[in-house]
Amino acid sequence: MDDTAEKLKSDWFLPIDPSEKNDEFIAVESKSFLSEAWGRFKKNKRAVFGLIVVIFFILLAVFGPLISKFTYDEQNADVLNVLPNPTYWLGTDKFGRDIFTRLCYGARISLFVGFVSALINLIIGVVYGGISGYVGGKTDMIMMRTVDIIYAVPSMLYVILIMLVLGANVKSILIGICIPGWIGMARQVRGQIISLKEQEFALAALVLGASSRRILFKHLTINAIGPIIVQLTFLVPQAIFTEAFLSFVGVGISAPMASWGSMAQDSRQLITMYPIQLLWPTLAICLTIFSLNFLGEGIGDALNPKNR
Amino acid sequence: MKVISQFLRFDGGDIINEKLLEVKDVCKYFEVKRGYKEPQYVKAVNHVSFEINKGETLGLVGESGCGKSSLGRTLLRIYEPTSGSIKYRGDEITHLSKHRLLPYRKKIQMIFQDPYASLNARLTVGEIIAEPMVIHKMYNPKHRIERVQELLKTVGLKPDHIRRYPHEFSGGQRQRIGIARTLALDPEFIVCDEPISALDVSIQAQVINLLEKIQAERGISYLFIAHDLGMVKHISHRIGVMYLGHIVEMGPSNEIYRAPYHPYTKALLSAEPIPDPKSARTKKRILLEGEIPSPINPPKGCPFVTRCPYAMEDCQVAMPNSYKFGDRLVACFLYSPRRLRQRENFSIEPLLNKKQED
Ligand SMILES: Nc1ncnc2c1ncn2[C@@H]1O[C@H](COP(=O)(O)OP(=O)(O)OP(=O)(O)O)[C@@H](O)[C@H]1O
Ligand code: SF4
Ligand SMILES: [Mg+2]
Repeated sequence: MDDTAEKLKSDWFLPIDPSEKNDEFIAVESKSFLSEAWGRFKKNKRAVFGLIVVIFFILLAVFGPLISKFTYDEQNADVLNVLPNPTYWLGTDKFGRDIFTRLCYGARISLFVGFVSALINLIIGVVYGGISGYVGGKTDMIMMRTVDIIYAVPSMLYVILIMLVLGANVKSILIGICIPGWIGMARQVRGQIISLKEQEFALAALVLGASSRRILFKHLTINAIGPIIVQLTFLVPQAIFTEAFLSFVGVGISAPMASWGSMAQDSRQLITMYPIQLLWPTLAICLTIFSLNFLGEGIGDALNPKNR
Repeated sequence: MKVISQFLRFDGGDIINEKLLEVKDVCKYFEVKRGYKEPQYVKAVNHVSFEINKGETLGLVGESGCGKSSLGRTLLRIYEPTSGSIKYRGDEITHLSKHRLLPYRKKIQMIFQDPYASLNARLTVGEIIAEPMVIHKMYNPKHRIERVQELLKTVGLKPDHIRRYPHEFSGGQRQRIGIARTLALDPEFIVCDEPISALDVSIQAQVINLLEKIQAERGISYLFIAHDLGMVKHISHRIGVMYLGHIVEMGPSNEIYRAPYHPYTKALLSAEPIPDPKSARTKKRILLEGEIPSPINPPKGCPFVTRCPYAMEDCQVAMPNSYKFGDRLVACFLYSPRRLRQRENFSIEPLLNKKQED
């Protein structure tokens, strides 16, 4: 305190020479936030690898079935369990169905479940967690206890119960995954909002007259975007994994629909004779999940402005 | 009583004798819960009253944690006042709903301490400065951009900085951006909560000059918060000295600086470095001993009693009133009419100095 006061003698407070007026300079070159983040992202090799693989699987899901000559349920008793060859790129399974085609349909289901459930969880989680954290007090307490109750029930139970009611299909898997899926997001967002809402920029918005909604979504949530995206990028592989697992244990996608999980289940019995049939769906699951995780990490790092 | 000067003289801009803000008996207690025990209260602001005229700067000083920010934030309804009344141009705004408060938000504004935390890092400078106009639906979008550019010029930045992000600017420049955002609403009263304490010393004067220039041009009133007297003396017309949630002394700034009454003000001033070596030798230093008491368990009587070199018996039991001497107010028993009558033949200063020597 003495220090500043000493330096602050009153002769500091004389009008400054006009020439000195603008001698502060801009320290960093101007770039938009996103282009800067992209620049940081590009430097991260693992993340770029992840992105490429994810794009590859998306293309496979969208266009694969179109370029393939077979359908996912077309059985052919002449070509049971063939190894990869120019006609059947990845071989056929025990019913003579083309594995490549089935893998593409599996990608459709996996990615659809992954991205749609992540999107639903994002919206519910951000709104719920945001309101809980911003309003605080009793509302927060009640909202968080509710979350605890939902979370206390094992998530498999939701899926299985929903399956009983709605049947074994993508819709019930999606609902089953989403009932408890947004909770992690909501907790994360709530924590972020609680620490952000005390910051001066949030108080400034309040003083300017901004509505709670404006403060919450225009100021607070946008500043929590890094952790939100990181959380989001973990939700996608998690959902993909859950779907694969459910289908593998036989409560997910039912035959003849193809899912990576059910394909792995089908080839499990032939593992000693035709291990390659198990390799494809497993490889697809692993690659996708790893890549999504790399991608998530990379996006998280790139969005953090402190990593310049 | 002879010594107590009763004349009024301001050396800053023009003050129009028109009450802008009247604060009466405002308290702000924060509830703190400790497990399952009874809630306790941090008495951050305790029965504070003052007025601010149009075009006037009231400086608010006090040690860290004495409740300056809490007071400023309570005036702006960031915190809900526990009790008391806040009037703006005669209108009671203490308990107005969010919606009804909105028109007053245009007039009562705040400049924050931390230029890094007070701007939303995800918005461009243009968006930041235009936001108040968007919220209050002022002007059309095109006109807003022009206004933003004008405001940037007013605060000494370039109009083409509009597309840049806050992190590209230095602390001083950011504080200017914050000031421009505030000015977008044409406020009449601004709470400046230590607006320069986070800045480089060389930049501090520039920001102070800017604030003074704005005041001269627009007749804005300031509540200027700082934690040492030297900083506010220059810019303030009047000064309020705060201790443990109370305003213990208030009056014209040069008078307080020349002749502080309250023992705490004396101590604060004597702790200031003195630029003039001649007066430095003659001036006595009163050093404050001990810590500032916790605002959860403030002393029973006078808040300053635990550290006051003049503490008397009365001080332990009762809270002193604010005694008025001309334009000055001092909350200390030494200045109660009874004490003063007892010492009719003495002037206060020699008496206090004598006591200090023994
Ligand atoms: N939101 C809050 N909840 C509980 N206690 C608080 C809160 N805000 C402030 N306090 C307490 O109120 C007291 C006054 O704090 P305040 O921030 O107003 O002090 P200050 O004079 O501005 O200090 P500084 O010079 O450090 O900024 C402190 O004891 C502080 O711990
Ligand atoms: S009232 Fe008593 S304790 Fe308080 S400042 Fe005055 S003399 Fe000191
Ligand atoms: Mg403060």
